[in-house]
Amino acid sequence: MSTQRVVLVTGGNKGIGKAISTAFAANGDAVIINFNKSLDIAKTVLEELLPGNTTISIEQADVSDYRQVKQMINNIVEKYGKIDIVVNNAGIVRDGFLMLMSEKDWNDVISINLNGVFNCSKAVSEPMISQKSGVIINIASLSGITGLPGQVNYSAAKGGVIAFTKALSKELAPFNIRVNAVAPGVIETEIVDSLNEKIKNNFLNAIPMKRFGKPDEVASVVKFLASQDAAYITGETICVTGGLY
Amino acid sequence: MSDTIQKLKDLLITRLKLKVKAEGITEDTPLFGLNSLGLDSIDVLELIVGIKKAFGVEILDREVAEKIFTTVGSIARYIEEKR
Repeated sequence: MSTQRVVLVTGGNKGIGKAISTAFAANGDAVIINFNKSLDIAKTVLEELLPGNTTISIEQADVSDYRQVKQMINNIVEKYGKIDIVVNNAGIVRDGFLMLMSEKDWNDVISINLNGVFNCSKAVSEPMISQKSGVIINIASLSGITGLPGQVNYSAAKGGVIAFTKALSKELAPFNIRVNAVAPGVIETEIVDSLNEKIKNNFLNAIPMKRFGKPDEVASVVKFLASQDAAYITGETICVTGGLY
Repeated sequence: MSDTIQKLKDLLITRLKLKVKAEGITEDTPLFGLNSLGLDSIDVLELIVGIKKAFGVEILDREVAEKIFTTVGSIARYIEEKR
């Protein structure tokens, strides 16, 4: 079997996910970039990464649908004969104060951000148990640790992801499968770009390092957790927040 | 059925590294508890993966798992039923 690592990044076509896909691709890994709706964006990322690495591909699947996820994992295992690393990154934001939050906005965020992690981890656990190796990295958020107003859905989902990470790490440790999480703070992505200047400045004032994080700075921690350098780390959540808590 | 039982015994011994001989396992041998094979929850996960590989039968539902992971025979019957 090839020594090239096979890496799946859910929501790997945008923002932090794109930076993670790029980091693994630059490392020479076989990267499968999962996307759901944005085929054009996924194709663009594929074209950007292909010249340096010919084992990049894109896979459409809605992470909130177990059957689609299972099919995607089956496709990967059939093509490469294994799956080494899964980065559960796919997520959405539907902010609003609880009093004004619709049930749909609550359910959508839980379905994708929390159930999506369940679906991908469940689907991949079988081949990983069989291989007796694997790494699962869940992208959580500072919001899941401290809670943020206007984000009860997102905070609940990400807090759930952190607890899920701890529990699953204990279940899968006997099979040489590590499960960790990364909790980014405020990172320069489209979501942050869309905030108005006043809110951006409020965040900047609160961040001890007085700047937003870069997607690459999250990707490098993910890359570390996926590497042998982190061979004895499992069940952990590493914050990438510039000191913000 | 006897083929399935035999294959299942081999699976149990090799995959779970049980220190028993195939002759020492019968259809009625319990998986857990007194006078059982002494499996634990980790063995069950390993067994689920092994059954999928060896027989192509998926066990992903807790209620199904609780029902069939009682004796060697109960697993074999489920495999026969689903194959």
